[in-house]
Amino acid sequence: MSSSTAAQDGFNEIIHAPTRLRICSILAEVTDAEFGTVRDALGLSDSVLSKHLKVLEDAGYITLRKGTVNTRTRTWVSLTKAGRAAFKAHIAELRALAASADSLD
Amino acid sequence: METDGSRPTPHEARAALDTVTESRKSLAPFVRSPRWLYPVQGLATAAMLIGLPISLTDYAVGTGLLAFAIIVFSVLPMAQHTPGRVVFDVYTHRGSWRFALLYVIPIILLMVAVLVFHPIYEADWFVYLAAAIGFLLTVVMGPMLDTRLEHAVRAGL
Repeated sequence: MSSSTAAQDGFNEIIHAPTRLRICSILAEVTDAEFGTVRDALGLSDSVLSKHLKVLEDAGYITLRKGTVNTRTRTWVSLTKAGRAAFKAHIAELRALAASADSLD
Repeated sequence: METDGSRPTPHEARAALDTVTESRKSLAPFVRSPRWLYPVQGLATAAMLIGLPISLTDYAVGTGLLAFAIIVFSVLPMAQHTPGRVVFDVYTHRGSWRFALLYVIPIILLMVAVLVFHPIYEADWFVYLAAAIGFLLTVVMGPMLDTRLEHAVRAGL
């Protein structure tokens, strides 16, 4: 699914999947994060995190960068500019939806 | 509001926003800078505060110090990529940017002061004093900035 078809108004189906929403919530806070840190912070397995990162990468929302630290290869994840914009728009849409609940209460 | 089948209901949207907040909070244990970060940043700050005015009178020494500072400031963001942590920008994060101004503004004022007063009074001691203050400010305020950011993240701000 391309990012253009995934997003209607601000709502974004790719980002809204629960695990990807949590991943984006973390990445939106930081410059970048190591794969293992995101995994540990969210309590995910390597395979589940990899699967969701692949979806986000295919949508152009994140970049993955490999680097070596103490002879071990590490992967760093960061939101792209498009990813930050999409996440921000998605959150704004969720807030609008939630606000409509408040007005109904 | 009209919603189609793929869109969350208002209550689901509220739950999703709560998930976002909780996920942000989970980052709090990872807000910690390497111990060497602020001492190194402090040395680069001091080198810059000395190099700026000195480069006007002693070009080789002054530009050498400025080059050192620029290289350190360029390398620091990449050097922070150590395992088990995430890289925050404490100067722009909404939980710490106001507090960061308490560090950034004095450093800018010190830069202006050395550039203005050193050529007028030619007092080297003033430059070294400014450099020492810049170093101490960085070493003291840096960890405080991290703490401030950690509290903000833990609070879900």
